[in-house]
Amino acid sequence: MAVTARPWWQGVSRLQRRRLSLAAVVAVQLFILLAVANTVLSLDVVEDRREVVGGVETIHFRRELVGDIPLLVLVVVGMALPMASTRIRREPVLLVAVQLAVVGLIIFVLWPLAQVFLEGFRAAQGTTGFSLLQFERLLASPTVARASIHTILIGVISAVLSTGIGALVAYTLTLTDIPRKALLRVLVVLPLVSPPFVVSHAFIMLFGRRGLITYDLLHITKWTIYGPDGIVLVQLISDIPLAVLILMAVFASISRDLEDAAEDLGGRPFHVLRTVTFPLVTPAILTAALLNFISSIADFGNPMLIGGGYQVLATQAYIQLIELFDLQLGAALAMLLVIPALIAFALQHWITSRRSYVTVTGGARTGSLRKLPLGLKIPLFGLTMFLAGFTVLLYGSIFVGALVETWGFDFTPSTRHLAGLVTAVPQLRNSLIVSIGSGVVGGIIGIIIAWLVARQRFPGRGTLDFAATLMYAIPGTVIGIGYIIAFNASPYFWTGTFFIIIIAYAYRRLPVGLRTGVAAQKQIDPSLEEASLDLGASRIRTFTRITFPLLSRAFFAGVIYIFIRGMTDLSSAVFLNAGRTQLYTVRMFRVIITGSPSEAAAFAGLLIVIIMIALGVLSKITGKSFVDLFRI
Amino acid sequence: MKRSVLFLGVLSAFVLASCAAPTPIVQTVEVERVVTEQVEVEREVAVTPTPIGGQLTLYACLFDPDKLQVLFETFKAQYGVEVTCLDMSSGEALERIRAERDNPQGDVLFGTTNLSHVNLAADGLLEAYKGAGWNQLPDGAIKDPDGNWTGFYYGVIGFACSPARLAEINAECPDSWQDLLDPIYKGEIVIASPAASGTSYTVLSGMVQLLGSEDAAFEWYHQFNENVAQFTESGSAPARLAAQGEFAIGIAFAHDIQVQQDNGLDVIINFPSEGTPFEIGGISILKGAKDLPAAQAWVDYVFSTAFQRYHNDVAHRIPVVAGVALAEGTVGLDDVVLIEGYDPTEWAAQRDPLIARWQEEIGSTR
Repeated sequence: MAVTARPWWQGVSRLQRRRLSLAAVVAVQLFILLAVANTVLSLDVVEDRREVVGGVETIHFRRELVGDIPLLVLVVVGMALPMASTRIRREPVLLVAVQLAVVGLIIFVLWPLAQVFLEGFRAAQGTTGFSLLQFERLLASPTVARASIHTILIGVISAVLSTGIGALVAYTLTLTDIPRKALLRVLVVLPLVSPPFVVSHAFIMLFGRRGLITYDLLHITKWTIYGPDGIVLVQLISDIPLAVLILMAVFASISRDLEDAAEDLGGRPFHVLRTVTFPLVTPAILTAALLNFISSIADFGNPMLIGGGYQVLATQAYIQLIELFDLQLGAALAMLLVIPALIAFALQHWITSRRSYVTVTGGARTGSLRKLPLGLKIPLFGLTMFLAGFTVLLYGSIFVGALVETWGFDFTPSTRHLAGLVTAVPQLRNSLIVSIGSGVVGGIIGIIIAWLVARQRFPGRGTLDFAATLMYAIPGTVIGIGYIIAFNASPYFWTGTFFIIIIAYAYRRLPVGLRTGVAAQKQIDPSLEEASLDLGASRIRTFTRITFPLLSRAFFAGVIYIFIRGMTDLSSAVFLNAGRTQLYTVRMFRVIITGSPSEAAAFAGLLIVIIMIALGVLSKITGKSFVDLFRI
Repeated sequence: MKRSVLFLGVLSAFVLASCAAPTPIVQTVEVERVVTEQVEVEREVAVTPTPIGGQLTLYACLFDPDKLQVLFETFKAQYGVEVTCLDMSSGEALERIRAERDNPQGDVLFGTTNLSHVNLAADGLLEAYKGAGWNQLPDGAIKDPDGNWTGFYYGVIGFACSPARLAEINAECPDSWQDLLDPIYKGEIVIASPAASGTSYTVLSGMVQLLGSEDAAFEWYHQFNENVAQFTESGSAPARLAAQGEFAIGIAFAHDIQVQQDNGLDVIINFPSEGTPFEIGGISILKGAKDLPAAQAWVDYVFSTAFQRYHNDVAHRIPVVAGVALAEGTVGLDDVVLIEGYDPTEWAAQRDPLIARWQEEIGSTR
C-alpha cells in the first residue's frame, strides 16, 4: 500500500467539501456575532424603585438589556455588506478576513468617533435629543474663536517650516557627500524617541527666563521663550525628524535620469534642485506636512508648558474634559479639531492624485550622490550640523539635569532624582505592556488589512482602505475623548483596562502599519503568490508561508513605530489614563508641572534610555541599522 | 441562487433578533432593612479601631498616592481593610462616578474640592453619613447639612515669591492684594486663568467677596491685569514658575507652593493682609458602595488626629480637626486671615456668569 500520506480533505468529495466550508463559514459568522453581542449588550440587574412601608424598606429590581443596540446593528450591517458580493462569498477565507477587518473598524474607529459627534450635540450630561447648545456656547465664547485661529496658525507654520527644513536636511543626508552622515542621521532622528513635551522642558531649562543659556550666559531680558514662537520652535524640533525620515526614503529612491537630463539641458544646480528634484518628492512632502500639521494641532503638552497662556483648541479640550468635567463641551471642541485635520487630509489626497510622480522604472539609477557646488553644499551642511548640534544640546541638558541636585539653582551632582524614579516603575511597566501589546496587535491588523487592500480585489476595497487610513486625520485628543464616551459606561467599563489602551493605540497607528504593508506588498511580485495558489496551497497557507515572511520587514517596522509612539504619546494617554493603568507619560507630565526641573528631567531621561535600549535590541535582532529601523 | 437565499435568510434572522426591543423583566425582591432613627452620639476624635476586613476603593486620590501609602498601611493594620487609591483629577472622578452610577466601582470620593461633592449630592449619587468627623465640625461651609459630604482639609491662597527674581527687579514680596497693583511688578506676576482653573476662580470670587461688589472686584482686576505676564492654563503652574525663578510672583494655593519648597527650590510665601480666599477638600461615600462599613471606617479615620497631622505633613493641606499640631514650617489657619463670609460652595454656583464677565473684560483682551 502506498505510504504517501494524503491530507484528510482530499478524501472528501467536492460537494461535501463545499458544504463543510459553508457550515464553517456560518459557524464563524455566528461566533463573531455572538462575541460582539456579548460585549456590546449585557443583562443588568437594575434598581427599579424603593419603597418604605412602616419600618421595612423594600428594593425592587428588574433585569434589563442594556447596551448599544445601534452598534450591534452597525456590526451586523458591516458583516452583511461583504456578503453582497459573489466574489467574496466564493472564498471563505477572504470573506472572514474582510468581515473581521470591517467589524474591528466599526467598533474601534467609527463608533468612538460617532460618539464624539453625538456627545457634542447633546445639551448636558444625561439629556437626550439634538441640541446645538454646545456649539452656541463655543461660538459665543471669544476664547474658542481665538483658540481656533491660533491652532490653525501654529499648525500651518509648524507644518510648513518643519517640512521645508526636513526636506533640505533629508536631501543633504541622502544625496550629498558631506562627512559623518551616519552619525548625523542618528542625531537628527533622535527627538522621535521622546515625547514632544520633553523638548518644551529642555527649552525652558536652557532658554527660559532663568534658562542656562538665555540667563546665565547671554543675559537676555527682553525676549522670552513663552508664547507662540516658543510653541513653534519646540514643535519644529519634534516634527522635523518625521519629515526627514519620510523624505530620506523617497530621496534615496528617485531616479537620477531626470536630473541629469535637466543638467544636460543647461540647468544650474540650484535650478535643477528647485524645478526637478523637489517637485518629484511632492507626495512625500505633502504626507509629511499633513502628519506634522495634525500632530501640531493635537499637541496640548507643549502649549500648556511653554505657551504662556496662548490658547489652542487641544488645551481647551483637555481643560474642559479633565479639569472642568464638561464632557459635552469637550466633545464639541474635539469636533472642531477634526475639521482642519480632515480638510488637510482631503487636500493632500486631492493634490497627490492629480499627477503621476513615478520615476522608478526598470534600470533606474537611484541613490547616487549628487555633486553640488560649495555654494549650495556648505549652507546645507551647516543647517544639518546646526540641527544635530541643537538636538544634542537639548537632550544633553535633560541628562545633565537629571544628575544634579536642582537645575537652575544647585548644580552639585546628585543621584537623588534617579533614586526617586523607583516610584515610577509601575507606570513604566504599564506603558511598556501597552506599547508592546499595541505594537503587535496593530502590526498584525495592519498586515492583514494591507494584504486585503493591496492584493485582493473586491468591491468596497477603497472604502476599507479609506476607513483604516481615517485615523491619520484624527487628532489624539479626539480619539481619547471618543473612547471615554463610547466605552466608559455600561456595559463595557473598559476604562482603566489594558485592553482598551492597547486597542486605542493599535487602531490609532493603524494607518502607518497599513501604508508600510501596502508599499511592501506592492514590491512583491504577484506571480510568487499566484504560483503558490496554482500549486494547490490554500490562501492561508500562501499567506503564512510566502507573503508574510516577505513582509516581515514591513511588519517589524510597523511594530517598532507603534511601540515608540505608544511610549511617547500624551494627547490620548491623558484621557485613557485611569486608576489601575496609570501611564508613564501622564505621570511624567504631572511631574513636569508640579516637580522640580531636575526631577522631571530624570523621568524624561529614563524614558529615552528605555526606548533606545529597545531599539538597540531590535536593531540587533533584525540586523538593521538604527535609522533603518524607522524606514517607512 | 439557493445559497444566497440561505445566507440572506440567516442574516435577516440575526438582524431581526438584534432589533427586537428588550422586554424588561420585573422581578420583585424583598429586602428587609429596618430603618432606624439617626441618634446623635457624641464621639471622640480618636476612634477605636475594630477589625472589619474588606476591600476599599478610593477615587481621586490627590496626586501622590505614594506619599499616602503609610496611611493606607496603618489603616489596614488597624481595620484589616485593603485600600486601593486610584489617582485621577476631579473631572475624571466626576465622569467615572456618573458613568458608573448603576454599578459603582468605587466606594469613596476622597479629595477634590467640595464643589464636586455638591454636584454629586445634587444628582443623588452620594450616601449620607454623619460620622465622627461630621459631628465635630461646626455648621457652615465645611460640611453638607444632610451629611452627604464633609470637608477634611482647607487650602488657602498665597503669593509665591522668588527672592532671586525680586532682587533683580529691586522689589519686595507683596503682602496685600493692593500691593499687587504696584507697577514695579509689571510683567512679573503669573496666575492661572479663572476659566481654566479652580485655583484662579477662587481668587476671582474671593475678590468679589472682599471688595463687596463685582464692579469693585473687576476694577481691581483691570489694574492687576497690567502686571500679569501670563494667565496659565494649569492651576499649579504659577507656584512652579515662581519657584523656578521664571517670574517674581505666582499666585497659587499655599500647599502647592510648599510642595515646591520641598523640591528644594527657593521660594517664599506671603499672605494678603486683607484676607485670603480658600478651598475645602471634601470626602464622601458613593451611593451603592460595595463595602459600606469599610467606607465609613475610612471616613472616620480621615478625621483622626493621626491622619490629619500626617496629611498636613506630606501634602501640606490645612487640617480641619481642632487641636492638630502642624508640621514644622507649614502654614496653618492661624497664619492667615480668611476673607470674612467667603463660602466656596456658594461661589461655585456663581461660576458661569462671573467667568463669562472675566472672559469678556479681561480674557479676550490678551
